[in-house]
Amino acid sequence: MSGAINADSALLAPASSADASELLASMEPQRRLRIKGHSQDPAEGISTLVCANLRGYEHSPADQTLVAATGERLGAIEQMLAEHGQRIAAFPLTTSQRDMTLGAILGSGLDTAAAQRYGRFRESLIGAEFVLPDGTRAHSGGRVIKNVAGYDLAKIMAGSLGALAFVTAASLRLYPVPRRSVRLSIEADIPHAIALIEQAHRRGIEMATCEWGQGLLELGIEGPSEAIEAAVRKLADLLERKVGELELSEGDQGSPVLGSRLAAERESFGGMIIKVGTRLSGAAELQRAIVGAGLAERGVWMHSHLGVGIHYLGLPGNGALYGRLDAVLRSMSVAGQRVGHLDPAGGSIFVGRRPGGLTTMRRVLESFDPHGRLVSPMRTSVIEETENPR
Amino acid sequence: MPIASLSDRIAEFKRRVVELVPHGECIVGDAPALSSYGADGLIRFRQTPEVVVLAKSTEEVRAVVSLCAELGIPFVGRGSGTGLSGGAVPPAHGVVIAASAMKGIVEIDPVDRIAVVEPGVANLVVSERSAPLGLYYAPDPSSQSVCSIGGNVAENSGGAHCLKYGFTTNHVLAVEVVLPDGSVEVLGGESPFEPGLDLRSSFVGSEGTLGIVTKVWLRLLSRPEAVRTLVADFDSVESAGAAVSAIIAAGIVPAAIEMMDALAIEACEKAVAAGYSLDAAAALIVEVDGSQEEVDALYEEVKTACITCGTTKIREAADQAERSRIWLGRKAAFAAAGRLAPAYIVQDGVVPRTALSSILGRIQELANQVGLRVANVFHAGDGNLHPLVLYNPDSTQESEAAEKLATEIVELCVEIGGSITGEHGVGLEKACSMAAMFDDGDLEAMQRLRVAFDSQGIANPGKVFPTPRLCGDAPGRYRAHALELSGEAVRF
Repeated sequence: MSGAINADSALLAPASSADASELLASMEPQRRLRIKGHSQDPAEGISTLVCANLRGYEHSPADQTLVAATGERLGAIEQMLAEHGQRIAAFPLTTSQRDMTLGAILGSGLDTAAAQRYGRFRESLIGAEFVLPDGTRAHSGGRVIKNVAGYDLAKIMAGSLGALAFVTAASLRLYPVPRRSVRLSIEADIPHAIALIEQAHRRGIEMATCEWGQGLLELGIEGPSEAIEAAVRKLADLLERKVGELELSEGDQGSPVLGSRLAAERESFGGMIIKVGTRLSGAAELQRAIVGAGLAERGVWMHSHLGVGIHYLGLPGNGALYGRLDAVLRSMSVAGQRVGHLDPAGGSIFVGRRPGGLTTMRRVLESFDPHGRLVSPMRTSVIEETENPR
Repeated sequence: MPIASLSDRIAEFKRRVVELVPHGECIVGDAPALSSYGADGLIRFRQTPEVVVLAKSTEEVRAVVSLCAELGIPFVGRGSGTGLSGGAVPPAHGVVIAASAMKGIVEIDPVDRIAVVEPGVANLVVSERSAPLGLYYAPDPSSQSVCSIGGNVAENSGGAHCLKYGFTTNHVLAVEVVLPDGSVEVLGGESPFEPGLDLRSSFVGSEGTLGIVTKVWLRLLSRPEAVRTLVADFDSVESAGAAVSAIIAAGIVPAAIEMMDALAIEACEKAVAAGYSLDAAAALIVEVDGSQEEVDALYEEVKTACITCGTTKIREAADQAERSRIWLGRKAAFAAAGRLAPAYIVQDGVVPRTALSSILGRIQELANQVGLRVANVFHAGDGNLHPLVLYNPDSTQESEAAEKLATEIVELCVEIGGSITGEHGVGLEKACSMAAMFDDGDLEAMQRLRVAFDSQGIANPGKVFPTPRLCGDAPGRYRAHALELSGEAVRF
């Protein structure tokens, strides 16, 4: 070990996988840890293990892959890749997302508007290096974009809220920055937005992003200029408007883009945020149910990566509306999860229908971390749900 | 009272299993019929099962797996049996639970672009049934006309068009599975986001070692408005490789880029007369799809890249019939190798795309050293190579040399930063090569996932993981398993 880390410290910031392995192997089994991207407020009896000191990357531009230590900030990665005309499958990013470490982004299960074109961010994960809670070093996947050797443990780490292992590096598939990007903003309620998306699909228009919030639908179109102009003409036809009447903006980054504006709003929101998944068409039913239950008039809002059916529901206040939303989601058989700042002692993160596979999730958590060393809202919630189903 | 011996337990299984499968079929005691389930597409591994169950429903699969769990009898799930790594070879004294009779298409939703299918549905059938709605299922293994969706899930299958559209794991939203203890769970959801740990991603590609899939929610795509396909000939594989790099460097993500060397071209031509040039040292099949305008723009750039890199001839598919003919040749490549030699080994390795040309040279060197011929077909865009090692099975010496060469090729892939398998899976064939790619810690982490799903180790044992019996390793020092350390399991 480098000697710079005092294993008794409340804040542990190893600079390498080897350091992290030695550190974890040297600890008593009853020692409790929580994994974070960078330093957090101290918690009683729990040390914080952060990835902020894990630095470095290997970029293979011609292979369109990146292996990065999880302490690298997303903004720095984004900037470096842009110089090579490449990007990760997460955009647009907010200022605070750019400041987050890759480890924090992976652990929290980030989704961005890019999910429409590239799938969830975890889908571009082609490998990961990690240290198990007992200090065992391991990796899964590799550095090539096609690989089916062994179990895919990289994706299960993504969104696990630090409950399985300390991820020290990740391999990512990269994508070329499109030659041109435009955003088309349309005032539309959700049923109209869904109808437009369906019609666009039927006309062969594949959107790069498909965001809905605040009564606006924003469609991102990317590719060669000729293709974008043709797609915009087709969309204008669908909307029965002239191209010149459409609200178009160039580029895929920055505050004018609805996706990043909504994400920034979520970050500054003081209430509880629930993330749920539905079919595309299920979004309309979800919104109707929220309105029907009187939640909309109490200030509950909805943002969506609409094309892929991922939604965020904002509950203002101190959680008083949680029970009512839970009942609404159950009645629709929709499963949700609280996101944002989560307290392991703050009750189950699950809302609505019980997620599938909870019993197996618990077995996986206990197999990876038999002593329960890693304190995570994922673990406490899975155990709570399996022992005391709501 | 527990039944002590394995033979007693198998006898008990045979006695009870028939009543658990009222709609499906059980094969018990019919040696020729049982033998036909003894291997998959990789016929050099074979093991006759004790029983074959052709299940018709999730409930029948659940009942049979529960009986396996109760009696401690190993089982393997089976789709169409087209796998190329021995993944569906039955375990010794084991049971085959085949889903080939579960062929129902439960739903195709044109608005949500989702298909819900049973595992025995053939890959191509999903696209055919979706076609009237303007949709298709993107992963397209060469065996797509017969391989099953359940098998695709088990192997995380790829195909020629996965460069642009991703692999099976990118197109499976959820799976209903029967776990090795007989419980039924749905992993994933109807949206890509489902709360909790992402068990769906771990299950896809687990080669039947975590359970049996009984229903699959698939993501469908809209059929592209336009497709254009060309074949570009080159006088060297290096030039063809340079063209691949030039296309990718231009920021183009074609729907497919496939490469064949001279021997592979010869085989395909003999088999299906696809119109490939027999005098080319290498050929690229490049396909671009999307909107008409996008295709028009990118297709010309692809042609320019090929010309710049020295193509000797470009053949453009004039219509759908010619496009189909071009693809028929490529997709027949494995079977076509039989035109060149009485036997061959299909290998499946991956290298960084930029290493394609160099590894071809190394493969040739290795082949020359043992006097064997190797035909090469590649998914060039993602660095997935399929060397076809040709040999005479009547010669023990040649057979052994071919197997050794095939293993050396995949281990060479690992040496230069790649993988031992890109789409065929580890199965039995490459279990011993896993150690070239993963160390003890890596394999232990994977085992922790496995025991969480299958504490008895009855789901397709002997696959994926290297074992001393299979690989001739010296048994290592005993290390207590995590479950033993936690007091949840006892070693005896």
